[in-house]
Amino acid sequence: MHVSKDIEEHSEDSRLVERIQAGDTGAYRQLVEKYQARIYSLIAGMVRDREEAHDLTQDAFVKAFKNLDRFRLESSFYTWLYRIAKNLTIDWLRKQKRRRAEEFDEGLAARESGGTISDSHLKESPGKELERSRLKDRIFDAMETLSPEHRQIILLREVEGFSYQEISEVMDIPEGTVMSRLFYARRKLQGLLRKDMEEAV
Amino acid sequence: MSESTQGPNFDGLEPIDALMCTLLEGSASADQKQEFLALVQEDPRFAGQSELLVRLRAAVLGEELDLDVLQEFLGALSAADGWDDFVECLRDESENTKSSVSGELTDSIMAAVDEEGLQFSRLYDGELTAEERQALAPMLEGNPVALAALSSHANLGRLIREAVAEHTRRDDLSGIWAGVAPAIGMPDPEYVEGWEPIGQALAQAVREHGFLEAEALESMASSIMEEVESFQERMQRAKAVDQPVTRRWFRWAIPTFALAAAAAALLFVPLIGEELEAESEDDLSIEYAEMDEAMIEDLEFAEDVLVHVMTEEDGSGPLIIMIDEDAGVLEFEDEDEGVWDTGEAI
Repeated sequence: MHVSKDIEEHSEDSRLVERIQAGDTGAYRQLVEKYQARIYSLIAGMVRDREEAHDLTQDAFVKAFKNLDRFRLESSFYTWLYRIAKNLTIDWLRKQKRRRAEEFDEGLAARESGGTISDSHLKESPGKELERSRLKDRIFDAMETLSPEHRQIILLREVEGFSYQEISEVMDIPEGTVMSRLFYARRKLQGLLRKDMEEAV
Repeated sequence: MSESTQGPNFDGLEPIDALMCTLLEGSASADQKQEFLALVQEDPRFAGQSELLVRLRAAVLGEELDLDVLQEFLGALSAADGWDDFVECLRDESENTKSSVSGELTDSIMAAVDEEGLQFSRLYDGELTAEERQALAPMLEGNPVALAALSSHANLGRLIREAVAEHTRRDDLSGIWAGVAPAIGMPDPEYVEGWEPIGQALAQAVREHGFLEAEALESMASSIMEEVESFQERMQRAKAVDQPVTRRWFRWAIPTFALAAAAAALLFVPLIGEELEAESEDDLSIEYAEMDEAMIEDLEFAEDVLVHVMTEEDGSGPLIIMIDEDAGVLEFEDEDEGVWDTGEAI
């Protein structure tokens, strides 16, 4: 059933891409709206900063559109789009890493404030919301200790539910590497988040 | 594992080995590097190998790890404690991936060291073949280690999914297309017919704010308000010609109105009533509230100004003030966060 849904989705995407390639640019909006949440979630899991994630999501869609003539219809549009988003995100992370080294103080201040000064969670329901927000921060802190490649793999597996083969295709690495990276990423996160995981149980 | 070894969890490994994995992974701190070198120095397995230790020191403290030196080091380690597989794995991997990240090596090493853990990971992911599952089945029965590993994977997965959902759940993605459309040659979906001259006038007024005297501000406020009133008429005309006007326009129209009005009102903040937000055809109303009635929600940096986006405590509408570059520090008191300020002027 899942397979038939995938096939249906694939052919729907292919039809849209064909329309766009034939000049119906407006059809691209359907693809953007269909995949924006998934792409955004994955990018936001990588870069943490929501505004940057928003911009990178837009950039990914723009870049995908501009390269649509290179897209092969027999491929999965989402996989292809994700690969573009992944490359943009990793580029951004690398630039950010360099910049952070140069502007350490500013970066620290921005991170401490989480991009905005106030916490809208506080306004809603202080106790639970705050704890959830802190747990989220701890998880993101732990994720940030992983390399971008490891972070991507764990997000693709746990958030997107991709198989090793799909991850291998998206990231252009052998399945064996997917397996060992995922294993390592899990082990490292389990070590860092042991206390939270025990509490979750 | 040494208590001083922060970061990755290399359970079951000796401190020297755990630190080495951290080094290979590229996340070792300066202290960890020194700790590692000190442990190696004291280790009897390296007695009399001063030349290797010198090269190892250079490799560890250098910018990039020299894998050949590390292999040699691992060879010396394994000679005494059965790390042959570990070394073999590193050697094979390093041949293929010398130019790639050293993290790859760590992954493979950890996988080679903990074959069982790797199998559990694959089992949890549903990536074992039928034969592999059958072969693993006897080991799984009543095995608390297997159960713990699988439930740990499940918990971790859930935490990650919840964290990502929590991180993104409040995010408004409706603007994605608005950003994409103009870049690919489509009309800007946020374009509002008739807005341009008003927007330009307001932008100009805001830009000039820093240079205006009090008297000039008053006349500027009047001219802005005239424009704002005519905007309502323009909007109605735009509707009449069936121009699609989405709710999005007020997201930037409100701040722009408010910015301009704030420029005139200085320490007062304009409140734009819910009528506008509801996009009704009622008259546009701008009210003023005192600072102590406001609650800061967010801070945004515009090109030349610091803009405070605020709402009234009852949440009835957006409030915005503008502070110019010479504004300095403003202090605000918040029940939950105590006193905080806007920081130094931009």
